[in-house]
Order: sequence, then structure tokens, then C-alpha cells
Amino acid sequence: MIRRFFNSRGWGKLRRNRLAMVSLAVIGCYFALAIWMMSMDVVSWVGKKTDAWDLAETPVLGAFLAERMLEQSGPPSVAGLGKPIGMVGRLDYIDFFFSRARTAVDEASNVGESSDRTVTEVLDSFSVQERRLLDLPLPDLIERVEEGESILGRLDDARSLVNAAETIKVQLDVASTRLAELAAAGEEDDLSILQEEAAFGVEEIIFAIDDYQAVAGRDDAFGFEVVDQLQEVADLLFDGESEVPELAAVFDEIRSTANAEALTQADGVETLLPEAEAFVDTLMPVPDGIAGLSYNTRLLFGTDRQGRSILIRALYSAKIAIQVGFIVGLTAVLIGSLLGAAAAFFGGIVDHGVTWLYSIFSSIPQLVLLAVLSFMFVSGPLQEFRGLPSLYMAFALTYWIGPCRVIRGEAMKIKELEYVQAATAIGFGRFYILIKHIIPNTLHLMFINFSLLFVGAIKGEVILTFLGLGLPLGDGASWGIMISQAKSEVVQGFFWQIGAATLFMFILVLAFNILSDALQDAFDPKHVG
Amino acid sequence: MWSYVIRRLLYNIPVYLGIILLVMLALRVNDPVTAFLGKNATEESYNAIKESFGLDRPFIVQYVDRVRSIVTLDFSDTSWEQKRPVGEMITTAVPATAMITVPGLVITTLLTVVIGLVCSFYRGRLLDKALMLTAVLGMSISFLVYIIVGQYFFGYQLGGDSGVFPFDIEGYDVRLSTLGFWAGSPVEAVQTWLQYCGLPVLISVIVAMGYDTRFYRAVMVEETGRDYITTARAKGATSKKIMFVHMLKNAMIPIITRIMISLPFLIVGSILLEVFFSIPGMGRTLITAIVAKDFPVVEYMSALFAAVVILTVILTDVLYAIFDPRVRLS
Repeated sequence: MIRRFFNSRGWGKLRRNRLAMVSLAVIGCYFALAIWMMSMDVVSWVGKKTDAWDLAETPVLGAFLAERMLEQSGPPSVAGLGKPIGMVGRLDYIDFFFSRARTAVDEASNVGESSDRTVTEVLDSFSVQERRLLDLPLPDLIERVEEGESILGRLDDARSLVNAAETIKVQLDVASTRLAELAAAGEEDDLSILQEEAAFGVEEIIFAIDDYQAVAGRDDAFGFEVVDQLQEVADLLFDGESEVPELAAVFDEIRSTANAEALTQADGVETLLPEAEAFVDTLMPVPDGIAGLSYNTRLLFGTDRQGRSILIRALYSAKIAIQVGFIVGLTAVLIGSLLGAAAAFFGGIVDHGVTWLYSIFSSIPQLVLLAVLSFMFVSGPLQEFRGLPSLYMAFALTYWIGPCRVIRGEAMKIKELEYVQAATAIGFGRFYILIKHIIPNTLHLMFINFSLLFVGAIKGEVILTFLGLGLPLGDGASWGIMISQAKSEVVQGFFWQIGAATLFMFILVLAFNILSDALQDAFDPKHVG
Repeated sequence: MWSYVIRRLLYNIPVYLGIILLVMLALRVNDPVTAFLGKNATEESYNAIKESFGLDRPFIVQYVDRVRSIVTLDFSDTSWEQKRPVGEMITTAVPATAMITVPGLVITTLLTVVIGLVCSFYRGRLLDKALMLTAVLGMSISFLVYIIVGQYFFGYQLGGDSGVFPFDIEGYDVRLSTLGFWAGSPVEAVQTWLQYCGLPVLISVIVAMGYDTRFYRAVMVEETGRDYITTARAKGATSKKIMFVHMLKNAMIPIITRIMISLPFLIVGSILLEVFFSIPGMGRTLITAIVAKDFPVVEYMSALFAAVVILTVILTDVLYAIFDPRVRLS
């Protein structure tokens, strides 16, 4: 049956279609990737059963195991190529690696005689994928971490000073509006409330200045005189005085000082940031050679909000997609074409039954049917099948109608052809004719439908998962999970996760779309739409 | 003719009975009341809910009862979650759905038929190839991505306060569902509609574009090979006339079929668009009900959706029979 397919004219036509062959190659790559990941799953499973090896610990071979999909590969929301974005991103980066190093050293120094872990083991357990702590004796490490504390401390101070200076400016604005309101107060306004508000506004400036000076360690950063002036006005206002000295000049002075201070401190942050980054990079260096390459590849598309590698997750999702597409496509096409061919060939009650069945399934809008079917798995006795098995079921039960209708129509036509009549006349059994003559001649339609359903299942998984009816968001990875999670990242302008998932999915789906078109052109040229 | 119509109707009765059976069975695989209340519910509340919806009766009685209430359009059973009659939930949801589906269908059909015509006219040339490539590329991106990215750029970055586009990120104005609002202040109504429904409609058009253009192109290409086109050419008709008069008229049957097939979705609505843009239509109501395990709503709505589909199928068959006598005889 298969050999006949490869000898057919349609196959020759398909082979001459270069675009289709490229698509086939692309699909082949995805399949190869999926098969490799699946065989690693099997190897890992065997290893666990026999207690012989633990593949999850093996560097490259274990990279795509399901249990490793939740591991962190770096700080959260790192952009592609491992570059942290913006000031916040860079600070997160420093903080992430440094706090890991600090905890590691803390725990390692608590390891005593009685502990069942050695210092090296503890230190190792804190490494981020291939990035491990500097290979130094513990006392030296402790020293390095203390050195880091001081750099980070200075950085923190500079940052909080920038913030404090900003706060002063905000308080200035608040106070000037309140003073203006007080000055413009008419008969109907309650003067005492306005006075009190203005007084509090002015006092807030004093507090903000105090905060700044306390952190900076210079209690005359803004000048004693200025603070005294403010205090005087605030006191007057609290005493119910509405005629107060003009503060505009003082405010301007404070504002310009605050601006200048903010600038110097920001400069401090700017110079300290690279220093801190360089420090972190020496404390937990990106390794050289293969390991380093592997770590950098991990961060090729950055990390998601939990610091997990987007590339690894997107690739793992390709396996899930292939799995879903293949199983759903195969079962749906098998069920559909068997029922369809049987209905056409046997006619009568069988035909009525099958038509009835597929009329039922096709009369419920597809997404509604999928939703209702997945409803069965949300709780209750079938809950343990939640996840992939429930997806397979829901899709297979929904998608078999397409192939069934097409194959039934085709088989009706074939049934009337001379060679079938000849076979009947010779005296072959009905089943023999069905298996030997009818089904092989609908093979091309099965391929076309398989290709269409494959894409349908992949796209459906994304949609169902987003609606909360597909794969649970918490574990593993799939393009649906990634795109659903990316929704909240997009608002912050972070496109790496949705971009990576879309790219990988786009290539596969596009290849299948082109292949379906080519299959249709080659084997079923009369088809419309 | 009438015998044909009646035959179609009769044929669909067992189908519809089967649908209700399927939906009811699928929803009863789990005990719906436990699913709704959780495992720690008291026996009294459990029994109260069970009795209120008649779930304590034998399945066959429930089935007959359900069929009866659907046939008599009696949707007075109340939702467990919202404590409103299901019928009321449906009547408030349908107009909201129609606000995005009807304009979407009209715009998509007009655009894609024209593009299909143009493509078939320039068949094999650069324009045709470029348009078809765009269609395939567009089809290969998930609906979800269109919505997320579209909402971000057109609703969040360029819409709302920035004022480039009049689109809001999400939301709906219930006044849009009332006829009085459209009649009373049409300008304001259109503005409000654009604000809330403009972006979902735009996205639905973009998504549907790929599929529909390819379909209509295939239909038109099929028509260009027909004899009557050759005749028209031979007698010297201009190519514009051939395209818009001869071809379009003959391509009407597949076009109408395609539109008819999408009619039920004017009511079912695009679940995804409604969920994303918080439009309180049918699709969103159904999904919210499923997530909340609001059993009566799920059961009635799926049965109702199926009824709409079946009625459209029958209507399509009847239309065929009217326009194409060959169908009647077979």
C-alpha cells in the first residue's frame, strides 16, 4: 500500500514541488528534535527505574527533560542574548547572582561535621545551570562576598539617594499647589483646613530633605538656612496665620539643589553598575568552552518572568506540539476514514448511523465542543487525565468528522468504479475489497487530512490552554502555556517569550500549511478551497 | 419542493436529539454539583442544588424534560453562579456578540471576495503569488498572538489616551446593546462602538482574511476555467465585465454557502475575542460558565448553539433547493 503511494503520479508531482520539499525537510527537523527528546525521556526513565543513572544531571543529554523545564537559567525577564534590559534589569541581574552566591556561602559555612553534604556539594547546588561559584576555598569566598557586599551597599545607597531626591521634588510640587490653593481661597472655603494642608505639605519637604541628608551622611546638603525658613512658614501656618512669606525662591533653590544631587548620585549609580556587574561576573563566571557556549545558548531568547530559559522551553514545546499533532492527527484520521469508508461501502443502516453520528458532532461549533469535552476533565474521576491525555481525547473526538466526510464521499465514488465491480464479480469478500481496494485509494486524502489536522491540533492547543481548558499552566511547557504567560509580559514591553513561541510555532505551522497545499495540488487537484 | 424541506427537517430531528444526549452525557461524566460546590460542601446545599435543577431524577426523565424546555424555548432555569435565568443571560449576551460578529463578517466577505477576484484575474502573476504568500503566512500565526500583539499596539500604545486610534484596551458599553441608543444619538453610538468594538472587529477581519481569500480565490479560479467564460471572451466582453458580472454571479453559490456556514458564529461569537476584550457576549458567557462549572448555563448554551447550527444547515439546504433544482431531485 505504501509502495504504491510512492510510485503514484501525485508523489512525483509533489517531489518536483521544491517548496513542498523544503517544508518536508523543516517538518523532518522538528520531528527529529521531538524524537530525540522523547528517546532521552525513555533513557531517563530507564535510568530512574534501574537506579543506574540520573540523566537530569547530565549536561547536554538531560537538558530537555520535563522535570527540568521549571529550572531557572538566570534572572527574570532577561532580554535575548542574555542582556538585561534597563537599569532595573541590570540591578536584578546583579542581585540575582549575588544573592545566590551569598546564600551559598552562608549555607556552606554552616556545614558541620554531622552534615551529610560537603561544602562543595552545597556550593554546587547553588550554581545557575553552567554558571557555578568561583573555585576558591571557602574562607576566600567569604572574603569575596564581603567585598561584594560593600560594592552593592554603595550601589544601594546611590540608588536610594536618587529616589530620595526625586521624592523631594514631588513634595515640592505638592506643597506649591497647596500654597497656591491657600492664596486663592475665597469666602466659601474653609481657611483652617487649607492652612493645615499647606503646613503639612511644607513639613513633608522638610522630612524628605532630612531623609536625603541622613542617607547621604551630610546634614547640610541643602543648607540649614533653607530648612529653617521652611520650618518657620510651617509653624506660622499651623498657628492659623494666612499671610506667610513668599516661598517660591526657596522652592526654586531646593529644586535646583535636588536636581544637582540627583544627577551626581545617578552618575554614581552609572559608574557603580558596571563595577558591580563585573564583580558578579567574576564571582559566578560564565564558564569557557562548551559549557559557556551552552549557557549562552540557553539565554539566546532571554528568560521569562521566573528566570527560565525561553529557548529551552520553546524547543521543548515543539516536542509537545509534535506529540499532540501526531497523535490527534493519526487517531482522528484513522477513526474518521474507517467510519467513512465503512459507511460508504456498506451503505444502509451503517451509512445512516455514521452520518447521524457525524452530523451530531459537526453541529456543535468546534470550540464549544472542545470546551464541553474538556469540561469532563476539569474535576472528578477523569481529573487524573487532565493535561495531554484530555487534549488528545477532546481533539480526536472533535476532528474525526473532517476526514470521515471526505473519505465517505470519495469511497462512494470509488465503489461505483469498474474495478470494484470487477472484484465483486470475481467473488472477493466485502471486507477484502474494502481493505484492499477502497481504503488504499483514499490514502492521499488521509495524508491531506492528517496534515490539516496536525496544524489544527497545534493551534487548538494554544487556544484551549489560554482559555484554561488545555494544559495546566503550572508544569512543563508548551507554546500555549508560553503565549498565555507572555500576555502579562507584553504589557511591560517584553516580547521575547511571545516572540520565541510564535516563531517556532510559525515555522512548523507554515511548513505544514505549505505541505497541505502541495499535497492537495498533487493528489486532489479538483478540490476547491 | 415542500417534501424536500420536510424531509430535511425530519432528518435533522434525530440528529438534534443526539446532540442533546451527547451534551448531557458529557456534562454528567463528573457529578456537576460536586464540581460546582467543591468537595467540602454540606449535604444540604448539595441536595438543594441537585433538586433545584432536577438532577436527582432518572436520566431519561431529565432528558425528556430538557428536550421539552428547549423545544418550547423555556429557558427559565437559573444559573447556579449568577442566580439569573439562563434565558435572560442569553438575551443580554446575543446583542453584544452581534456587535462584533456582524460587522466582522460583512467587512471580511466584501474584502476577501474582491481580493479573491483580483487574485484569480492575475492568476500565476506576481500580485497573485504575493497575496497568496501573505495569506499563508498570516494563517500560520496563532489567533492568540494577533490578539495579544494587536491589543498591545493598537489599544495600549496607540489607542486610548494617545489618540492615534479611537480604541480602548477592553470593555463594553451596555448601551450599545439597546436600539434606543443607536436611534437616539447615532454619532455617539458609532464613536462608542469604535471605542470598544473597533479593535476586535479589525483583528477578526485580519485573521479571517487568509482563510477566506484562499477559498474565494479557489472558487474564482475554478470559474475561470468554465465554458461560459470562454464564450463571453469570444463574444468580446471586457475583462471587467467578465469578472464582475459573469464570474461573480456564478460564483455566488459557494460564496453564499460560505457565508451561511459562518452564520451560526454570529451568535456563538468569537470566544477568544470576547474573552480578551471583555465583551459580555455569548462566547465569553459560555467560557466563564465552564470555568465556574456553572452547569445549567453550559448545558443550555451548547444545546442552543447546536440548534442554531442545525437550523442554518437546513436553511442552506432549502436555499439550494430553491436556486438549484438539481438538488431537489436527488
